[in-house]
Amino acid sequence: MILTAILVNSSVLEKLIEGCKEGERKAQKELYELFAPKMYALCLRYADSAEDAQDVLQNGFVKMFRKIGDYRGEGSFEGWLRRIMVTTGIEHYRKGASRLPLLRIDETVSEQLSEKETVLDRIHAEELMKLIEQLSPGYRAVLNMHLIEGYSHKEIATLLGITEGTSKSQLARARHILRQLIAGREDYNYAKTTG
Amino acid sequence: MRKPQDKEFDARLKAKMEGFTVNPPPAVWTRIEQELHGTMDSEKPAAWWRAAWLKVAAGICLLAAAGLWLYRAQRAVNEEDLVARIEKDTLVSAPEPGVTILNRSRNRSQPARESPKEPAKKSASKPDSAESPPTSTPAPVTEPAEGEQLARITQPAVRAVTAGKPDTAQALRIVPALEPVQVPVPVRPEPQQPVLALAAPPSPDEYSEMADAQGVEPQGRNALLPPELPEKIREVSGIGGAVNLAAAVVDRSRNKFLRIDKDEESGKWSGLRLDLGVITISYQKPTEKNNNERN
Repeated sequence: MILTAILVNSSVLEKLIEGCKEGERKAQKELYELFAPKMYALCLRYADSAEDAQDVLQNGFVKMFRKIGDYRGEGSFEGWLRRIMVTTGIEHYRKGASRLPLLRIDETVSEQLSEKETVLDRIHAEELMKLIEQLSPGYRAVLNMHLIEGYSHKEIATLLGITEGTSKSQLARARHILRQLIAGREDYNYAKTTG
Repeated sequence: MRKPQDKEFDARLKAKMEGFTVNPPPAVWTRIEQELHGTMDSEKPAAWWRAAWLKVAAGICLLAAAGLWLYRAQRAVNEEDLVARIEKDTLVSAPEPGVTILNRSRNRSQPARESPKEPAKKSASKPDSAESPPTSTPAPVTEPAEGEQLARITQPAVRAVTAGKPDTAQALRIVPALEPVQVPVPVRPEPQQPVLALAAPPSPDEYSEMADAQGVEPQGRNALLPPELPEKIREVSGIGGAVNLAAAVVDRSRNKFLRIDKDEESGKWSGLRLDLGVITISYQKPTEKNNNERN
């Protein structure tokens, strides 16, 4: 059953892609509706605000529709689209990186947070998203690219224009900050319930 | 080297984020569509204007053609009026000596007020009628005597003679008062080949008479008849039909931007309608009935 559903979906997707290659508006809209929720979540992780995320989503989809003729169906379409979105998100980050302040971390506090990692199981995805949004753009980009999208440090270094060492160190710092934020949220919730 | 706790954290974070979806606001798709197809939409008005200007240009050309046609038609009507007056007032002088020209149109449309025999008596009793001043009363037409040859001159033929020569019309108007109405023609010895001055194509009956005179077999008489035009070609005949056809080619909508109406009874144009979208010009030709009512 599941295999049949996947085959039907893939054939539907192929038709939509073909329609988009022909420039059909209906196919474009259907393809957008199919992938927009996932891609918007991705954009929210890279952008500083919902408005920025919408800009990234818009630019990413426009880029995809214009380049869809280059897609030959060799790999996963979703993977191809995600790459476009990540690239667009990075471009957006590069444009606004200079005006965004970096979030400072308290190294001593972050070392004590390991015990509270189980909190991650209880935290809702939306709350986690809000915490990731609090990271500085550089940390957020490296964390998203490496932990969620699966990019290597070499690829991240090339895409962001930094060294591999910088990418590794930024990832470590981003991880610590996120832990800190999760712990802070847990402490806040604990204080709220006991207080 | 990553710590085991980091690995666990990374795996949990990835699992949480991978299945996370958020619906974007509808305005995003509107902006995407605008960016993708906005240029195409902006080209539409330009294309519309191009088409509109083409229609206007075609309309002006057709209007000019129609105007020219109307001018010519009006001129032809005036000439017909002139010819009709001439025919009423006079008989045309014979193109050949010994040929009497019979005014047939008058016999058909306007019967003589007096019997044919009376004017003969009058002419006989008053031979000095030529000296009398010219009057507007038309000269009576008599039946040709036996053995006289008849020449038939139709209106177009007279028009052809008088066209471009206004003096001729004036002269023709004066002539009947000065010359006798009836010219006797001496009988020629060979009457089998009558001299006919045919300026207009004869009717099928006249063809039949000709065929009888020439001794053509009944089966072969059709060969003498002029070929009939197909109905569709007859429909578009004339400038009005051609203009309507051209308008139909340019404008395929039901209400054509240019239309020339035709009077079914007379077959002549009766009105003109030009619809340019912003302005509509319509002209209805006044009919004879309306003119009479006005008079």
